[in-house]
Amino acid sequence: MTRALFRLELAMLLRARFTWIIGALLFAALAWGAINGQANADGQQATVERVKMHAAAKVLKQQADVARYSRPADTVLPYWQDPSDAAGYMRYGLSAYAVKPPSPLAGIAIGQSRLLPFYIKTDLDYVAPPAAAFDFINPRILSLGDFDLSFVLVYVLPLALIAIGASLLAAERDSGALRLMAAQLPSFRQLVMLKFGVAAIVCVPFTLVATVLALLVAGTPCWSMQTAGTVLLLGAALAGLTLFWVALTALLASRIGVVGSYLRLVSVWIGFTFFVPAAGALIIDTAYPAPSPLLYLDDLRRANDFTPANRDALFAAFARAEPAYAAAAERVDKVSYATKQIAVQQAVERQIEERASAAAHQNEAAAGRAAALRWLSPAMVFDTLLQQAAGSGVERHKRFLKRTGEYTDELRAFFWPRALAEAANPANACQGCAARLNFTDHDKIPRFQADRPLDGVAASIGGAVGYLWVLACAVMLMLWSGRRFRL
Amino acid sequence: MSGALHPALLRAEAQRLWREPRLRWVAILAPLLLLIVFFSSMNGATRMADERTRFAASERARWVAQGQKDPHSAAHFGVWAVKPSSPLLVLAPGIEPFVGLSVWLEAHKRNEMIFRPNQDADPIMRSAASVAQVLEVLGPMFAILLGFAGFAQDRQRGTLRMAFGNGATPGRLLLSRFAVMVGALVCMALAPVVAMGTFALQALPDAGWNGASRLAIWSLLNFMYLLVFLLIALAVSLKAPSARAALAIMLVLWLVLCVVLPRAAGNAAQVLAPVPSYQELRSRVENESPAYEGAEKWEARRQALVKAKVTNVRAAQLDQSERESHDVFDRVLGRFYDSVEQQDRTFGWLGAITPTVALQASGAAVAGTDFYQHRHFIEAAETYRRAMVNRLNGDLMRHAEHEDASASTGKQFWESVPAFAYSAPPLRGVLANAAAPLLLLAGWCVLAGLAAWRAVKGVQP
Repeated sequence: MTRALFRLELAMLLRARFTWIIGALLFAALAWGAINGQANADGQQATVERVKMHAAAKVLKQQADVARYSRPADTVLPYWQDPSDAAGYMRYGLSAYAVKPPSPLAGIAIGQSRLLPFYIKTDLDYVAPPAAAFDFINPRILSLGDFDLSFVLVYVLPLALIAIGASLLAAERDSGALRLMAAQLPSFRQLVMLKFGVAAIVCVPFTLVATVLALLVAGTPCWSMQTAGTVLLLGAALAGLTLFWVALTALLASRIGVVGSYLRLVSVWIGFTFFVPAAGALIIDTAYPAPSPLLYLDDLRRANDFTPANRDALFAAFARAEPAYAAAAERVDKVSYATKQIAVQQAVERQIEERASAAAHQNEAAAGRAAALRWLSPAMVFDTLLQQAAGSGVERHKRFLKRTGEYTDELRAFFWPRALAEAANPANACQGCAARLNFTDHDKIPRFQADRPLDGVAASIGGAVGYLWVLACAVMLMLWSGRRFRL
Repeated sequence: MSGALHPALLRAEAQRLWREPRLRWVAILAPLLLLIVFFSSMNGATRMADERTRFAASERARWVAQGQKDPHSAAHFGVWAVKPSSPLLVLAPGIEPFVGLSVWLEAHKRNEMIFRPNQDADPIMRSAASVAQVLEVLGPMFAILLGFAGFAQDRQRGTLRMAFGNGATPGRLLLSRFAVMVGALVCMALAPVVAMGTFALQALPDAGWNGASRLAIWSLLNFMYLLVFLLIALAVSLKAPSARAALAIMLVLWLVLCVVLPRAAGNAAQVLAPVPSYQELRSRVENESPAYEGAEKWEARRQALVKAKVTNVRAAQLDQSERESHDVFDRVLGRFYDSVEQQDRTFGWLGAITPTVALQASGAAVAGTDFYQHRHFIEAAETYRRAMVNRLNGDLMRHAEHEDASASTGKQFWESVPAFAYSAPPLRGVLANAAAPLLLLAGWCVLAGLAAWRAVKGVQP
């Protein structure tokens, strides 16, 4: 009897035109979302390539200039236009970039990647956050959010599942057929589980297959040894989320009529996608107001406001502290502005260190609280998980910024000793040449090593996958053993 | 009953609505949600307004007190200009969280605006809704909840037939229900929003934004938008066989019009009116602007000036390269900004496919938070930068070559360079720029009204 009813329910669900319309629309949305996401990833990859080419071409041109200027000439280049002067080059000629290329799975979620810089031109004496290096995207698109695969999975999929599931039992309740059906089975619970079990058996594989097909349509390179672990976890998460919404639909729609079911379910959806983030934002903003960029800038300007006299004094003291550069202190008036800025830079960084670290602590505290609040909304958990898997989230960006800072330190370690040594003992490698030729190691300038975007991703999303399954199982348990069903 | 809207009928309809438990919940939850998002926005806006004032004063004090220095060094010292936000930012932030709030104005370079509020924010802050978003996405839901059962439920119960039998005409019934529902919408959504907007106007600096007029127009636009969905819900309710069918149709319409199509329209605008790569653009500026030119070009320029026997070659060279850079910035960056505006206009025209897009485009414009007005600030800051640098270079040129120009500077001189003052663009120009989405929203309103009227004409009890 149960098996026959199961077959009947399955056939009814699959024969229903509404199911196919919703399925087709969902697949179309998934495919369009995946295409948009992949196009964005391809665009970012092309930009990263152009950035690298631009930097390489600039170095080649500078090397050609050095070769041309290393011949005797009547003119002498100002140091800021001399590609063979260490101080001038590090301040005015350097074209070194830190880049964050898109992950192979970037097409899944555009996430924060349009908002956060994915390439940063390093600047050895700039202390402000690397906000100056963002790639301009029409801000309207940023404010609207992207129509990508993650948008469809996080926001549209639950509504599609509600549309399919909300009337499964409620319609029979409204028509009065429910009592008749319940009379045919040992328990009403069995009927509920059977109907929504069928829905789950249809919806879970459908969402998985449709998502994979959408990615294939978009050309996202998701099948490789490198991506396999992450993709499998994503599949598990998607199955968990789908099951959660089917179970929640069953829980709410098995107790009331169609209208009430739709309204309650849509309200829950609104709660997860609007109410929780809005309330969370208010809590975080009240408890941890964002550090002010303007007050930071104010401090920075104050710290940086050196007169020529105190810049000289600062540099002289700095040079005297290091025997190798002590000679530079004696000829401070002849030392270039760019070299003096090494001492200034370190002094400025010391002065604003307190505010910078306070801001970092504030951001970390807010991020910790936000991470805790995210668990209140499966939509937010799933969204974050997709962004982590796609390498377009905040965690990877934080690592990128940290690596950019380390790269800047590497560049400083490369250039600063050269510039200071030159200031202490100016050498003229070529009498009568236009250029100074104290720096010709353009090939040895440290290069930024891009990260491997999928490293550690599986471990970082494992908890969220487990959470979605626990949530789905909890709702199923409530469905099975919860309140009395009413006919 | 002489008039179409008899008070007794209105009272009865109001009581009927109030008896619906779902509407009582909405009447409580809608203003509550609006209040939460409003206070969340207000918090940040008040803080930012205060910091902006303090920073601007600090910058000016620094500029005036920079002592004696070479005017060109002062041009490199520069000033930071901070963009004053429209007070309606707290209702409709538009693009504001995604654009920089400050720009460094210095010699040679046209810097980008930096410190985008949402860049360092946690994703939960970025996904936080605004009052405008609540109205755009959830406002239609309020309207649908009011309207979907308007006639379909009565038809299902048979009470519609009874009402017509008792002499009620469909038109009068529609008008009275519509009037009561409009009243409910005003109380639930519009009145709280107007009150919040008024509070924001009192609490935040207006700085020439003409906030009261903008608030009035913005509220009207949102009211029209909610009316569109209320009228569609009533039209569907008049035609649908049951309340359940009406709700299902309206929920699908809501999903498509309010959730899916706005984002799809954003992506469609990118396809229809693409914006060139910014990275390529920056490379072009570096290649073409004299501000970045290499030693040979710089020397050739110097030789030409020497030949022309100008008094102060260095100053003339700086001035010449500065002015030539302006042309490059105007040509390259100007075209880029034109393309962004074109993309925005394309997005506005996509308001033809959903009223949500029409509201998003026109609402942000009226609130003063769209790209057109952001560009107005960028241009104003750039005009100031040019005037400031030209003035400083001009002073340098008045001195002979190798003369110590710093001797003529000092507090009085720096004070003679006016502080940066920004005034928002006139509202008329803003409305003209957003004419397409404004007209489309009005068009949606008229169409929805016609649909409801047509449905009531052919209503079957």
